[in-house]
Amino acid sequence: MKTNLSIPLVLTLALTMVNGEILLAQKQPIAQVIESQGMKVKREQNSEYKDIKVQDNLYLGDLLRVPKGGKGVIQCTNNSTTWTVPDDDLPRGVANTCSPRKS
Amino acid sequence: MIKTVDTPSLNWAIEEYENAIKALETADHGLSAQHILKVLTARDAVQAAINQKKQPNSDALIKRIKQLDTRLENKADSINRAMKIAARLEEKADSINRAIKLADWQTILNSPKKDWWWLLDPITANWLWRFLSLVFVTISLSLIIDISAKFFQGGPDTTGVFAVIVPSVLTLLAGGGALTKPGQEGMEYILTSLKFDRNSWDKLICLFSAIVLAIVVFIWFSLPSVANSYVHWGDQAYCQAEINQDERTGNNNCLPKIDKAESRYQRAIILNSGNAKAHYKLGKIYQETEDFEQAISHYKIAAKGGIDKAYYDLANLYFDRHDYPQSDRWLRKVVKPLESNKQGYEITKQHLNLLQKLARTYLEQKEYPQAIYWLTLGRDATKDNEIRYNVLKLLGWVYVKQQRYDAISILQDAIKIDREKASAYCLLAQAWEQQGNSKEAKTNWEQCLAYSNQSDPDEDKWNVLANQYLKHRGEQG
Repeated sequence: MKTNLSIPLVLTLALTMVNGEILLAQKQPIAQVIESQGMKVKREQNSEYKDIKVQDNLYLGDLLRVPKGGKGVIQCTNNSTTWTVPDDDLPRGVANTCSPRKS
Repeated sequence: MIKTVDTPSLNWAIEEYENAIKALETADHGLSAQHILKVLTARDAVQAAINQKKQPNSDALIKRIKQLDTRLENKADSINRAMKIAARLEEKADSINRAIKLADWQTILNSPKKDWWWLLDPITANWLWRFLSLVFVTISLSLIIDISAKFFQGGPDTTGVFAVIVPSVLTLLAGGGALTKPGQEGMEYILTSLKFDRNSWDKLICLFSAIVLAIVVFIWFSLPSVANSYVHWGDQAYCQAEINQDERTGNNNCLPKIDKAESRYQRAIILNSGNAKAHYKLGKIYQETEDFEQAISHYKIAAKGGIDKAYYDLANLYFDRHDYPQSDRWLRKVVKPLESNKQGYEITKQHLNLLQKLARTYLEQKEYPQAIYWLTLGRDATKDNEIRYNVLKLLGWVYVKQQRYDAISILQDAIKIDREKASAYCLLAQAWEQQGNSKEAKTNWEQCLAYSNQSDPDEDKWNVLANQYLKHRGEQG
């Protein structure tokens, strides 16, 4: 009985993860991290901020946060402009500066 | 035997004919049947000589014959009087009232039946035909004056010149033939040459006048069709007025010739003042050239003429000129509230865009009921997700301004349509703030930040508000 229940559960979880990855992979990045000292990101599907490193992609809906004394610089993919995220520990939307490409 | 059927030379025949006419003229009251018969047979001889192909018929001779014929015609009444007197003298009492007719003599002498000089009997009822001719010519002239005025107003063009010249010439021919002496002579010459029975000349002239009138009436009734042609030519000059400016210049290298298009549309209106299409296109031109009063005037006529697009253009034009009550008034003519209850009722994208602009203006002017009126109408009448999102966003915004709880569900509906747009999140955050739900407010302010774009003035403004809120919350711990 335990085995019968766990198999669909595992499959569902696996599919959810795969789908999550696929969804992320399907989205086009709107920016890329070019400098990060203590900068954190909160992805669309997550509820917590996580560390982010140089060359990580940023997507529409991502929020960035740089603590005081830290540094975070991103580069928009559409026009290559760079933006230094203020180190006020307040959330900043990536889309605010790097608007997604219009297809 | 009196009749001469040999074919003498034309000169000789004319001489004889002239002598006979002179005798006829000098006889006056003593005119006898012999005089008459001599003239008629002399005329027969002239005709026989003319018909002889070998005879050289010079213009001078023909002209002389014509003069003699006229002299004979002038004696028609005397001839007929004499014939009656002769009949009275020669016939018995029981037949004294029977007038001898020249046609009877013609039969006896076996002359060609159609020769007019044998038909000098009094012509009856010709005044009826002449009167009818006069009526037809008068009507034709009146119509031609009207047509000419329309075509020559604002300067004639090729089409106009042809449209006026053809019926004018025909009418002048008919009118001249019926009413003037030179015209009558010319007409007589033509009809004589064509060998028509003289008794039917007035009928023929009347028929000709009627045909001319029919042609003129046809042209007059065709003016609306001609007007449509001018609209078409105007469209060509304007590179099809339906297409917007950007497409027009980029399409088939067609460069609009506005002055040409304008004059063609104006001509179309002169020819048919009720041509709604021409008024509408002219309205477009005046709008483009920023002659707004003229544009409004023509749009109004077009709208009355059944061009529904004109209502929208009027509403849009008034909106651009910041006359919102007028814009509202004209938009209501095309977007009718009652019809929104019908199943499948859908407002066009163009109307919805104006509807949103108008609602947004009412929102800014704090005229919330008017804004709600248009937005509820728009929400129920579109299946386009992008428009529906914007309408719901605006409606939610109005409710936020009114601090209504309904704002939450309206904005949540908008978010369901598009989760990657900031506006609804930003407004929802404010709605939750008003309701005192700080957790939901924070979540939505974050979403507002995540999706807002600084290039959108509203979103940029809300971005600042979001940061202020989150900073304040952070300071509060």
